[in-house]
Amino acid sequence: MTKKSILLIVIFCIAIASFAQKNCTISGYITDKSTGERLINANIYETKSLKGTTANNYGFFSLSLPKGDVSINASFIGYTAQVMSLHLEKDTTINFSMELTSDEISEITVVGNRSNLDDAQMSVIDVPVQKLQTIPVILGESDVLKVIQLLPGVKGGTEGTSGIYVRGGGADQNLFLLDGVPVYNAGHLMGFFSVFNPDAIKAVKLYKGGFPARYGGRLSSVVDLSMKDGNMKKMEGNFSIGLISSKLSLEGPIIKDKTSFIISARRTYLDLLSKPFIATYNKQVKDYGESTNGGAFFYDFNVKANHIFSERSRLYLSLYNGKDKGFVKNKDTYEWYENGQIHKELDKEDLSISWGNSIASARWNYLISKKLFSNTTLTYSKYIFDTGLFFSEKNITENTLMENFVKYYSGIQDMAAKVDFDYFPVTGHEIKFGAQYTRHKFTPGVTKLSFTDMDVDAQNLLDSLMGNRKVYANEISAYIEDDITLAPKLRMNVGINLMTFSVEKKNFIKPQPRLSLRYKVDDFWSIKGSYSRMAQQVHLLTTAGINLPTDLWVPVTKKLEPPVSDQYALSLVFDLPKNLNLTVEGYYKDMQNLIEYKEGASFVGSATNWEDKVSQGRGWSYGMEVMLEKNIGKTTGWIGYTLSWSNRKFEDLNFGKVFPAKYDSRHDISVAVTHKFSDRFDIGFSWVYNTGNATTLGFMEYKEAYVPGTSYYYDETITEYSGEKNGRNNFRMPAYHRMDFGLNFHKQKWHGIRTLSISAYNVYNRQNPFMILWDTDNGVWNSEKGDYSIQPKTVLKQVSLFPIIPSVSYSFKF
Amino acid sequence: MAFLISCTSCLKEINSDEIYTSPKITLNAICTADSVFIVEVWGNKSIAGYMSDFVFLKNATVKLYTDGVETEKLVYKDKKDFNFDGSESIGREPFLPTSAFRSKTIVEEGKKYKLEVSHPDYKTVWSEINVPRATPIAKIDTTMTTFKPYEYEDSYSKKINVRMRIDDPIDETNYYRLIVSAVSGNYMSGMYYDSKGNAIPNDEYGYISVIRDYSNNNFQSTDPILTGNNDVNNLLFGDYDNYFSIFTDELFNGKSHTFSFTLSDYLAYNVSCSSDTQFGEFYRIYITLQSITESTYLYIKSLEAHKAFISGILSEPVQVYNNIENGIGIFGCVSSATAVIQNGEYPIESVKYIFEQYYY
Repeated sequence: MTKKSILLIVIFCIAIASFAQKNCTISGYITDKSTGERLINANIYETKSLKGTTANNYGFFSLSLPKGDVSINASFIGYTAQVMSLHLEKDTTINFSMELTSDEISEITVVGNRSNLDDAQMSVIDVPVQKLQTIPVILGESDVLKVIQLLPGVKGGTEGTSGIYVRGGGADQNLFLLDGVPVYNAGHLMGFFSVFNPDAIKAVKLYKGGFPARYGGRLSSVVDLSMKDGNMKKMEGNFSIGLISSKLSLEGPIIKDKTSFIISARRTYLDLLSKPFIATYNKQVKDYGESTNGGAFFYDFNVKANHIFSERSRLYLSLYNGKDKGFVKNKDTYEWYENGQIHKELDKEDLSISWGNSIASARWNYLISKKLFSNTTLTYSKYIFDTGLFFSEKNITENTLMENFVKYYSGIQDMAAKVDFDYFPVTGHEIKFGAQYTRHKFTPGVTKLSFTDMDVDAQNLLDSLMGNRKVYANEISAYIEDDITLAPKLRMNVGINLMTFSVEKKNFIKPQPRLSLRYKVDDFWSIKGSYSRMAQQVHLLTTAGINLPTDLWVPVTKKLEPPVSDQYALSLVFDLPKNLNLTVEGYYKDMQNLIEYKEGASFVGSATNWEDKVSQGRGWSYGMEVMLEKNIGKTTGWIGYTLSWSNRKFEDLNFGKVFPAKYDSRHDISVAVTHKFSDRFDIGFSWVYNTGNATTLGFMEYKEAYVPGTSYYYDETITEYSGEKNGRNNFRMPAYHRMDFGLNFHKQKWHGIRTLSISAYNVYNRQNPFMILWDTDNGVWNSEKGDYSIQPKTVLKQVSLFPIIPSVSYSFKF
Repeated sequence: MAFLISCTSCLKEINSDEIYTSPKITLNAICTADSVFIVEVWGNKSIAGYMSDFVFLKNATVKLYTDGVETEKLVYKDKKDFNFDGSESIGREPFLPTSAFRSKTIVEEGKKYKLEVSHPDYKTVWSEINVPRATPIAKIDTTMTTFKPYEYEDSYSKKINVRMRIDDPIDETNYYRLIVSAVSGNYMSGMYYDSKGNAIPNDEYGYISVIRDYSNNNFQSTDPILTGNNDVNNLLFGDYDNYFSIFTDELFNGKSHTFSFTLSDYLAYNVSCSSDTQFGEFYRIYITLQSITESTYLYIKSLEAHKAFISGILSEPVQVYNNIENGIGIFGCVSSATAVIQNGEYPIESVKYIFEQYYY
């Protein structure tokens, strides 16, 4: 079936390609005039026939049109549209350099982003990167993933964190691609901030369904982030100081219009601010022979450079490195008197924990012909978690030393090579195909123990490694995707992604067919439908709702099959007056071979035999999403509503009965609006409402039963997890809702523009539930039968994390 | 961030009026073949509110159905009515419920039993089981060996290696529980005190105190069948080291299987060094293979994990299996086959035995 499908697609493409020979091709790049940045997804169309296309991820487009007089329109949100007329006789190259425009003008001149109505692609959202600074978030730290959390179909996990759960999927089912390289741990500071520095990001696309065949490897979403290329025209920069971190970015030409670079870096500084306090403390305890040091921070930096060799050839080099680190160091010197002698000992303790990603990529764009664009990529991605505890006791008098060292580390490393082709045989027809090879190295968790005692004969008493050995895996994938206009109103995107994964002498082959159809009813609305199968070659062992660095990426194994999902979606897309777009989508997603920790198990304890700790089962989710958005004008933003269900069924969990997923939420509402009053002042606010998360909570207790042969007195109390529903996730926490508000004051200075941002998280100070637990109150006096004692009462309590949190930040763009 | 959270987070009480409660009968009865039904009937209680004790529902009506026919209404016996006889205990079942509904009917292997409990304040509850047939121990071999427990010390210990074969019944899923337990019989001289308070021995009234030995009655094994199913306990606490193992016949269904395991050096020492056998002292190790109902298997397995659960946000709580319709608890049964390793004689007609009870 799979072979037949591929053959049919290839034959179809060849037929179309031969037909294409009668036309002429107009191709080129669309760039920002002031910076030279290539504009992704800019629209190009011929004004008479209305035939058009969109620029690819490198700003390249190719249109095949009949010979004669043609008029080409290029447009992109926020830019003044350009129209170019020419007499077409042969293949021609045209590059568009587009100018940014003010919002007032854009409402009139920009026809609008018609691609959503015209594209066969559905369930995709272009995240408004330009608006990131305006949408208020916690502590004033703008964050791509926190904006994505505000979109319909996406649910944030624990409050304040940047985890995303898309259409009932899990935290591990999202593929984050930074310039085409997968990022495994997208969180800093336990996930409270994402690793993506918004200053370095040019474009972000979120795919929730109807996945194009070029993407694969995760079940629920693809977040495709493109870094800025660097200004080709002039040097410019930006720095900002916030409550948590400071950022600096610098970009400019190395050779004007040929080579450019961008460097972005940020670092938190709570550890630096705390140093004077630690020094003061150390002064106080110095006389006792003690000293301490500690801190926690994260940093990350992005570097990118690119060089244009010719119109046909361009090279991009990207680097990302980010690290979180926490440490505590203690020293304690003390003396004692023994056997007529003063003894002196120095004790040291050193605890450290760190984790981070390193990513590198080299991409080479080469235009093979005016219809065939190629991109060759080499990538490297590494995530490592490392924690260590060292302590020593040195008897200075007797010159003896005892040292203990425990180190635990885990990680994942990928090296990949891939090649992608974009082929444009005729207007309205684009074929993408490519292949990729990835070598994975998993280190699921290794503990190194060392114990040395200089006081005994056997000096190194213990020096051993425990835990899981390294696991190597090979992944080869290939895809072909055909986006074609079948009839004036009917457009189709069809393709297949074939993934093979070899691990532990076991091969998995997963063909993943994809199909999207669009029927354009008239100029104002379209109907779209899609089916996509996705497969995943890795699992994430995670226990908590928060993104912990201890979360382990592990490969599929002989025992644990690759997760697979089948998603069906249907949508209605409307272009409404006043630049409003309305999308209504319904979906059903079935997920097989999901994993969850068994009840009672977690990463606590041994990291070995992780396969025994988990259970494999099925999940399914369905729902409806509504999004009303406005991307043009002084007031922009969106209103989103999601009605959804997400369930799980595991043989080993909940006695095999169906239970709601942890982040199953019936109603989600999100509103994100920004308004620009003038060039000097704009505001932003957001409001979210979610049905409370599901959690497992016992309400009743009962007596343990006697089992014949038991050798202890059975008097345990058993908690009964029943309630409105029985079993796992039987209780709904109270609903979550919150409003954030922000003001931005801009001022033109001699060297650039300064922006002062004042924002408040959780404006009306809602106490949102983070956790529900049983606890006792202060109790009352019990005076029954002369027993005067305090009798506490067990009550249900809610833990809330964040009240209203105001913040201020300062940034300067030069 | 942790600092920020510690500064900003808060704890507040949720209105207790919204708390869901569901009063139910707890029916607990895991019975033993060839013995009477012993049924505990309790009320469950809400976690919310002031601390309170569980209430035994003495005035409940407990009916027993055998193969679909009502055969008996069980009678409540209080602790004081409980006739503690030696034959029932012999140190092997010291913790049998003393306040319970007891039957006259003897549990028979292969029969279907249903218990139905009604009480004016609760919904009527019921549960039904088929009593499994005991799988006999087809062959058992034991050998005692000497080993050096510590490399650097010049001391030796003994251990007992056991090879036990069973023939698993064909065409049915069987659930097993292997238990190692021990009973010691220790000579106690009769004593009386003179007028000055001195203890005077009187051998005429000497007796053997029979008690269950709780210390280190464990066994170790590398057999994946014995070790593999104790998952949550194992995962949390490391190596397998228990006095019982619970498993199914998934890996040897309908076939013979020989288990290999080693009894602790403590047991080996006691069974080989029991002194004063001339006074009637003895030491007896029971190796018991219980054939258990599926409900009992699921109950024990989940109960062990429930007890081991460390509360917190890092893992999901463990639910305990329940097979009581409209209520909560467990109705199950065990049928046992037992092998004995013994030093000394028991019983001896001329020796007086006192069965001691210890509650922990």
